[in-house]
Amino acid sequence: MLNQEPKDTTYEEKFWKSENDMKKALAGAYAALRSNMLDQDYLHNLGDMTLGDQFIVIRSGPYFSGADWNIQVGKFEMNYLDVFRNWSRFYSTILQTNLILQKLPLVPEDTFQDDPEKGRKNIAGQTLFIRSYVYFQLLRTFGDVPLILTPDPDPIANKPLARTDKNLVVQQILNDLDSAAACLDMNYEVESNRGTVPNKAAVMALQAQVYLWRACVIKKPAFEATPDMADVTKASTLVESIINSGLYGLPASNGKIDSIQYSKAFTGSTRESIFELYTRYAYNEGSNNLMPIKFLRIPVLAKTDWSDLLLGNSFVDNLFPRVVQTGATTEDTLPNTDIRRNLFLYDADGAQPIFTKYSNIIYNNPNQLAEPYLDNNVSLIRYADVLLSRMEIAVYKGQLGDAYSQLRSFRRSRNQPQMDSALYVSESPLTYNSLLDEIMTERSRELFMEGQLYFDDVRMKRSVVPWLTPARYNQEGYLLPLDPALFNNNRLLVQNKYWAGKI
Amino acid sequence: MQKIVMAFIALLAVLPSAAQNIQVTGKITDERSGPLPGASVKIKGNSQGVVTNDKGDFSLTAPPDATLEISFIGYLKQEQKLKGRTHLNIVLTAQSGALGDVVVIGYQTVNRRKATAAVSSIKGKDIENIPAGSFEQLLQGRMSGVNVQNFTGEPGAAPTISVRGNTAIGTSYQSNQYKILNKPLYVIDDVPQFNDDMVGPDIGTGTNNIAGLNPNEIESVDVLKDAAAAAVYGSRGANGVIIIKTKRARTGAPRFSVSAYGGLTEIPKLRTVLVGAAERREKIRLYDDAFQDNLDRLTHKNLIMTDSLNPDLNKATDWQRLFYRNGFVRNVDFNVYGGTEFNTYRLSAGLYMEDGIVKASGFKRYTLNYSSSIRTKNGALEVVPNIRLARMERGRGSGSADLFGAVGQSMPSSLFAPDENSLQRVLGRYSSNLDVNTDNQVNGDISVQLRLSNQLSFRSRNSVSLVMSRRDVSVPGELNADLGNSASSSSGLQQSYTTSNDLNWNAVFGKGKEHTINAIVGQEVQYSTYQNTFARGDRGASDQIQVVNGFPQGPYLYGSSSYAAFGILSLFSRVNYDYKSTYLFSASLRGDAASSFGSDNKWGYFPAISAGWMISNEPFMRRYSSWLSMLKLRGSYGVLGNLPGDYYLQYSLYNVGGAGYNGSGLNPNTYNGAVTITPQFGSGGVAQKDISWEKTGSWNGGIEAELMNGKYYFSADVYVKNSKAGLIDMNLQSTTGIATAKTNGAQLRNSGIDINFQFRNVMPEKSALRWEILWNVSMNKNIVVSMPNNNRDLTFGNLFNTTHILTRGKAVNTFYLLQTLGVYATDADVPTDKYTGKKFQVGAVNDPASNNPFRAGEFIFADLDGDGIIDAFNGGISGDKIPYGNPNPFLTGGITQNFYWKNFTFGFLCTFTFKRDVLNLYESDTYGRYGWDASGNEFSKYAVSDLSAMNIWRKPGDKAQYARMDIGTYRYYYRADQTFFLERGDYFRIKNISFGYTLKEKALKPLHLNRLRFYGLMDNVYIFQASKRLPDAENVNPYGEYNGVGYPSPHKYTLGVDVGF
Repeated sequence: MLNQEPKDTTYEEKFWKSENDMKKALAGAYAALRSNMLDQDYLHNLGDMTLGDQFIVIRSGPYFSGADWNIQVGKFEMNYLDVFRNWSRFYSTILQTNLILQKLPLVPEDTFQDDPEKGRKNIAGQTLFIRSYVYFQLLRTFGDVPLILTPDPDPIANKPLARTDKNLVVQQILNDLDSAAACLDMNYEVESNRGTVPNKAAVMALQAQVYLWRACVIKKPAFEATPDMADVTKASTLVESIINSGLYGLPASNGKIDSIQYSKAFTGSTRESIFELYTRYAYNEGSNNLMPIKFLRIPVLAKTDWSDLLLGNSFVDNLFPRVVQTGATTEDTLPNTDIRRNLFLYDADGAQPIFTKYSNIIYNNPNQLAEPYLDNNVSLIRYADVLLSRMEIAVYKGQLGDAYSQLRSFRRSRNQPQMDSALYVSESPLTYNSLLDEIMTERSRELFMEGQLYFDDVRMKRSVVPWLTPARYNQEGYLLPLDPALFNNNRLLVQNKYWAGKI
Repeated sequence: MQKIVMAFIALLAVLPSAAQNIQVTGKITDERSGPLPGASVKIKGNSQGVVTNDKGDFSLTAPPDATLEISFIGYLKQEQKLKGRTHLNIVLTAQSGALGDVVVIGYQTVNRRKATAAVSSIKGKDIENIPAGSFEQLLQGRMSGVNVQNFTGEPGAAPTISVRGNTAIGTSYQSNQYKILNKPLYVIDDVPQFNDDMVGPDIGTGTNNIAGLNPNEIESVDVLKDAAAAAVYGSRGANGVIIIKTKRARTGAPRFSVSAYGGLTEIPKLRTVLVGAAERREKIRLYDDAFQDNLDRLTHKNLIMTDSLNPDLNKATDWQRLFYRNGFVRNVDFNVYGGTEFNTYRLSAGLYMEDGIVKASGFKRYTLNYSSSIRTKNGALEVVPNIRLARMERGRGSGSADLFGAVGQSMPSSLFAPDENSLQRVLGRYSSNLDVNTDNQVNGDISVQLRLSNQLSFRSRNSVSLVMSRRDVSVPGELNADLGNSASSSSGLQQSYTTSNDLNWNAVFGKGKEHTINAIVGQEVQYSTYQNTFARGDRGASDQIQVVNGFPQGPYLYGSSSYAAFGILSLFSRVNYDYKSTYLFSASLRGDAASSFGSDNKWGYFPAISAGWMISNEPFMRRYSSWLSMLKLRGSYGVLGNLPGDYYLQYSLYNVGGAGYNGSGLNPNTYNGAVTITPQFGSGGVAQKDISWEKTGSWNGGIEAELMNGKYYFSADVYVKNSKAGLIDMNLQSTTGIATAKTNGAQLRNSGIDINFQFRNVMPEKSALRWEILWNVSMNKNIVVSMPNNNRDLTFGNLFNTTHILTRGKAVNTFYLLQTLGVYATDADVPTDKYTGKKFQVGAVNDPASNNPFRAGEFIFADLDGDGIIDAFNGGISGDKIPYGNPNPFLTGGITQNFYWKNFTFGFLCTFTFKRDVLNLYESDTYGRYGWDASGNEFSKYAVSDLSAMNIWRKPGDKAQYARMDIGTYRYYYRADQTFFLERGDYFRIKNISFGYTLKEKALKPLHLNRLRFYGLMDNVYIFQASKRLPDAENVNPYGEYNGVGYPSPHKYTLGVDVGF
């Protein structure tokens, strides 16, 4: 009678007893990551909204109490922006991964369905991947962060932790990813797991991103500096082995990808998918209020006359113009046949095209076409990113010609008409900066609303983010401020350099 | 010598028989209710005596010069010299609450004279036949140290009760208002009741369990206030213990009685709302003022305001009235009792029905009680079975948590002409009762008392208590924006089993029997569970379907069930000792082990000691004994506990299936189809093996005096309660991944004085009129002594800007406000900072660097931190805000006055609360809610209060009390967190007036009745209050906020009859 146990949930002593438990915990880690990244559209607000109103026009701010435009001008010190400044929720996910890694060796062998060794490796590999992803996100947004690799045995002791040097954090991420790669296979056990369950290629793709970040931002922090070549080379090796594996890439006859297949890439689990968050409609996991749906309206979305968001002028007119100028005069034009123009923009020629990259709508109430849900996964790493990184690496390596030909073939794969024209205005001269600019432009076209253009701009030092001036960049102004609430309980914390005194 | 002695002895033996004994008859009556059966009549100096029969008659033989002692529990003892009389008519005077009584001190009763504890008591008949759904409401103003605020007029709802101050501390705003003050422990017929936390009012029917007890079945209520009394309830005694005894049988021929009353409940004074042309005029004036220099005044003015000829817009609909009604209240009680000295029985049935003044709200209670007593011939063994059955039905108005949001500020403008359809949208949930809430309660217990010897007895009490509750809600499609009907069903079962066994030892020692000792040792076990099953369906096919059946699968069908269990094992003991009834000592100890604590801290021990000195028994006081019948000093110290509301603190709890994310909308339990399990990242995720009991050290010192043989009584108690290690959420390090954990981190102190005066008769003895005044006052000061995380202040509130603070040195839930200094008459009045040259400014929403000086017509705020800016949107700690005011009442009490004249009685009760602050959120909302309404459209759509009498700033130079009406300024100077909206919550209420007439016995004879009494009562008669701006200063939530969406307290008028056969 004096020992009552909860029956409405499980608890630490009773859990962690079988492979099945570990899988539920792993699902918990994924769900926690999903919640972390999508909280108040964190992913898209940070990765895309930061690019300013030339990309996204806010007509009514869905979050942040009408102060959404502060993100577009880089004012992260303003009210309501705690979702960007407070790292607590990410540490919940880290706690979950640390618990899994701590408990995994203790799970009895006989509870594994198949080979226990393989089963353990599979869980450990995925867990390390999730933890690395979270630390990489923290590293990119805050720089130094407390590095915690085991669950706190006594959280009530309330022992404050200082921030760990970012060089140590990044090294830990790389080591963890090495371990994860050793645990996982390149192949998918089940084809339908593509993307939502990371495999070895996903680990390598993330690791390539981490190496590039270290090469460009951590080791060479100045805006004017070029990257550290040792890390670039490591990233290059990883990228090449992903591409050479042949596991990825949509069918491309004549070098032009199948546009029907391509359109499915944004629904999820295709040969484009490397790592994505499961947010499809099944099991009630769909979304009805994420940023992509806020672009939609009639006739793409029934009964919605007005969308909260519109595409910015620069995005529509510069990235996807109706005609492409191919010569010296404005008469030398060709119609824009880029398949993305039709796939991403509905009514591209109209005054206010609709952004339809994510528009796989399911109506919860089909009779009345009411309560729309998006049946699209949220992509975090895609094969196109690997291809674009390869060009970027080639530029860093000084192989400008290779980079250029890769860019040309990438553009051709999307059926951009001007690629074969020697008159194309931006093709010459081939310089380090002009090529990186072109690659960044291509990234903007391809990866818009995938939550990473901001970090691409920081890494490639391109100034696509209008407010990130070189001066601010050199004060580490691309990092976010720490939430003042974090200091309440922790006297060891120090504010980021650029934000000290501003918040 | 021997002969003389022998002769003397013989003479002594002969003497009594020498005088001829005579037969004496008589009748004993109570001045109010007629004959008193069971009263004791004794010959003084002799053990002979008889008991009156059921008509109050007695007969005995006695010497003609004998003195008769007449006594009856609850009445003043009388002595009558026979002086040869053979018939006496004796009227006994009631003595409720005075010193002749016994008081309950937990598992024992003691004579009040010998009590060393602070106990307030009332008798059941003091609260009889007053129309109230739940008896706690009736305790208001009747007991010192017990602060009852009837903050809601909802029938059957629980008021807030605190015994000697607020000990509850919460780190966030609780919309569940019952949890803000820790409730005392209720003990009904020796059975501690459910821990309320098991089923909060937001689960299932949410009906107040205590309302299942028929107030007319209560024999007595004793409130244990200090540790000396309450420590025997150990871990649950810290907030006071309220002990209720229900009525029991008496011996005699069967006596039937029926009591019935009926009456009206009437809508009280509501808020003023302008209607029709008055609203139109007022709105146009306010609108023109607000848009004075603005072209909008001409272009934006809404059609609703201007088009008085439009038949759709020229109505005078008083929406507020549409939600209210006048109703009826009815009550019938029936009981019969009787029996022999070996077997008694009592059966009673009751019915109470009260219509709420809000449509579709109301409360019905059906009760059936049976108790009996079976005794062996020598009285050594007694078995007492007791069964209480109750059914409660509750109407909940709209069925939403907010009773009727539409009556608050979002009430539509009176100018709209409501058609059937729109009326249905607004009132649909009120006009038909679609929300059915029933609670069926079964309380049964059997107690066995075994007398082992003259000194030692054993008692065992075993009880079961069940509450079966059901809530069925069905909402037609019309009220769901035509998206189909919805239905939900919630079914709960609470079960509690208690067994309590004790040994009681009484002994008297010494030559002169000067040592009296009394000890009890016992054990108690209580085990409670709560289970709930909930199902809900949306988007149904037909309004006809009122259960969860046939709803579409997927997100529209939801089901869950829950389970919680709690067990507590206790050992308790107490020793009372007195020397010559003059020096009194008492000590008690209780040990509790509760399932809610981890293995390291299962047991908590709660000791108490107390002592009393009956000064009036001392020889040197004898000479005052003619007028000073009693003078007693007493003191106590003890440790009391409080149980946490969480049952599974010792586990690191996991969250199963909480896989929702921001934007998901459907609350998934899976990731990629796999159920997710994680620790509870918010709170509960950290096991609390070491958490220990919340303990309160309680000091009490008291004085009691009784004058003129009980005619006057006075008591005063001074106390200090230090609540240590209050369980409060502490913020953990952000890097642990878990937000908060409960910790023993906060300390509170309550200190104060309870005073009690009783004038049993103000009039001279011989007067036919008897006038009784009972007066009690309680003063309590509440202070936060320490807070967790190194005394970090915590602010919280229900609004965007936090309105309350927990800070060291201030009372719990102190207001946290900007100081309002007035209204700027002109722009030039806005001060300029002499260093920066900048005008004093409003902090902009999004940019502190921008320049937004205050303007004429806006409130003047004190710039406490001197930075030249008032941040408009600082949710947390702000440099310009300070702790201010106190929502906890300082002084509360009541005055009861009763007049007895011949067969008439007349009485009234007044209750009062002084020194309490109230934040008038209703008013701040009235003025401040349109700050974002740039066009004034919203302003024209909603109802408006009568503001014409208010001194509102209109043009530069106005010396106004109220700032200019804020429509579309985006400057938010009518924010709620300012002292301008703080009001004095003092009130003095004539709570009820009652009168009664009892028919004379002679008149009853031909009717074959034993008793016939007519009575009437007015409840909630009138309130005098300090604030002119609050409709009812008591109708204020426990945070000290009045927000206009509460349930007003109705006036009630009843007439009744009480018949005895």
